[in-house]
Amino acid sequence: MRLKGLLFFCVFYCSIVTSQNKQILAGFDEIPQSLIINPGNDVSFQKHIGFPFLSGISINAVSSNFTLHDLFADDGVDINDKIRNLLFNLSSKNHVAVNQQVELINVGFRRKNDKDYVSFGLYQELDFINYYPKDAAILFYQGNTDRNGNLELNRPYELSDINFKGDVVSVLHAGISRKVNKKLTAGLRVKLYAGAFNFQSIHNKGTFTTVLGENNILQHQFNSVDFALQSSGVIGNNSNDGIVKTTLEKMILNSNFGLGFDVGFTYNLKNDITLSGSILDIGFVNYNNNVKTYSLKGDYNLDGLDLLTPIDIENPDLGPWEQLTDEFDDELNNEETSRAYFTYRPMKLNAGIEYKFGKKVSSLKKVNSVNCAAFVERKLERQNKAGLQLYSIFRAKQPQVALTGFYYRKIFSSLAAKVTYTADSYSFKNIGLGASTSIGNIHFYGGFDNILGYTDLSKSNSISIQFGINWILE
Amino acid sequence: MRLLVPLIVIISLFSCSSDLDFNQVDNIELTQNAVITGIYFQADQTKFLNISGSTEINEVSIISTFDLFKGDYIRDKLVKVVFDFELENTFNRNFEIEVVFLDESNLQTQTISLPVFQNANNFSVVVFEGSDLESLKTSVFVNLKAKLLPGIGMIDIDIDQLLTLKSTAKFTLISS
Repeated sequence: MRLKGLLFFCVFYCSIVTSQNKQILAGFDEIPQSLIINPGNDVSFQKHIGFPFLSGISINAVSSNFTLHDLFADDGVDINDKIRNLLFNLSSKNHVAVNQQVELINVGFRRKNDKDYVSFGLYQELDFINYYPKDAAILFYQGNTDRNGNLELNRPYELSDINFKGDVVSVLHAGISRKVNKKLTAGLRVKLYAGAFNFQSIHNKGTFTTVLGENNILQHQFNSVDFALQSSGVIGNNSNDGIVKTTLEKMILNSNFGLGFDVGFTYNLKNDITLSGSILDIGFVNYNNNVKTYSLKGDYNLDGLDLLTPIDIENPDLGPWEQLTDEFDDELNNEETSRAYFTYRPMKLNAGIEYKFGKKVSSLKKVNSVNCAAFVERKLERQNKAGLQLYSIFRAKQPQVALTGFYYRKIFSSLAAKVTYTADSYSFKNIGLGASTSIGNIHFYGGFDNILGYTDLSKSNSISIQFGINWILE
Repeated sequence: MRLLVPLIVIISLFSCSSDLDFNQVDNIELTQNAVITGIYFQADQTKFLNISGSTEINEVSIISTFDLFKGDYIRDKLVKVVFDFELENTFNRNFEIEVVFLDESNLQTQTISLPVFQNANNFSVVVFEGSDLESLKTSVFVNLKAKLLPGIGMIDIDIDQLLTLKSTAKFTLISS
């Protein structure tokens, strides 16, 4: 079963891709969490307090070129044939990535100058990406042979296909969104990262090839190998306290700290046209707690076990096997260290343009006054918005890009809805639906991406859910 | 709430999945074939003569650790091993090569005997399956013995002669 689990995992490499694209939240000014996507968002409320652990929950899952249905459909096709087709048809650009966020605290308030909106909080984020290691998967699946078991001579197996990264971090953040002038709102958010877990193997190079040898029939060549597997908080974790408690402890007690920031803006180009943009998670985490790094670097040609090698004079007790393994370790600088390392956070870019149109409808806005505690002012806004959003996340191999078109409508003063259509390299039929509503000062929001996929989850390439509850003072 | 609750309910109601059979996992069968380079050596005439060259050495023997079967995965999944041997002999004498596998107690688990005829290329294929393979899997040492068989005329230390052994091993692992 362990092998099946591993094989199953390999198969899933391909396919499930999660982007962190929150196209439904982006530009949704009624939602405080839109400030997490763009710290320069032009929000209108005076205060907000997120319900602890409930103010912002997001889970995203997207798949490319593969669905559960492809593998487990009850269609009479031998599952071994399905696995084989999958392993060979997928490319090393396919990947699985998972992103999940839970806000623990999210609070914000408008400063007395009425220009600045300050927000801060704490959220937990899990992020994992794993590119399909095609050559390594095939090497594992059928060895260095073809389907019939014949040796694949001179076929280089790429180590560069091995590329994965996963971490769990808690992010303490504080940001300010300032209305610079009538047209421009700019924002900055500073982040302190605390890493609980990290494991990664990125930027690998080199090949493994079997060729005809001179000293022996065959020779295994490790060419230009540069491979590293790094982890923090993963290996040697023998806690029996359960994953939640262990993770929370590590978030608090581990000294894997990092810094980062987000920047963003909103610019009213004309009365009804608005531009916006943000860059998120420009930062790093330094991992130095419970670190294990396993690395190989160099070239090595393995001829086999030479049974008449002259005894090593310096180590006369070493037999041929020990000499061979020592030589392998030396030539490929095989080492395991505990040196600290740092990782960049996956940087994200959001850009958008929206056009407001339709009749003007009122929304409530509370404005402080010197003479009275507060009075309610009616703010008129266009009922409809339509526009485009561009999203990109910079990953180890290449950025993932998504283009979203959206239509937003303010249905009532306390109810707004947004429909999105997103095209990316994984799907061209991704329709999302989101809504924001309130009862008194209690504000609910929710968004579902790829709603067509919910009609048959097994065939769905994309699932994304975001929802939360806030207390908002308009 | 007026929209959110119905939205969630509607999506939940319409969320479904076509017929999937996860029990197919039980039918997964994986066959892995790995062809790896094996033991090799090259011995010239000096290996079979004493320092003065006056007396023949009838057997050259070397023992080595052999940890290929150490891992649980290999032990559990390995169903067949095929050794391919290529032997080249330029001596005017016949040899016999013995590859003896030993367990932790230095007890013999399996032995491969390879006849090597004089002035000839010799090829041998040796297959281990079933109980022979199970015995082979307990091996942790390999002892190679090159035995010089009696023949006409003594080995001349001044004439270059070689006995060469090359090999590969094909491991077949099946998981189901």
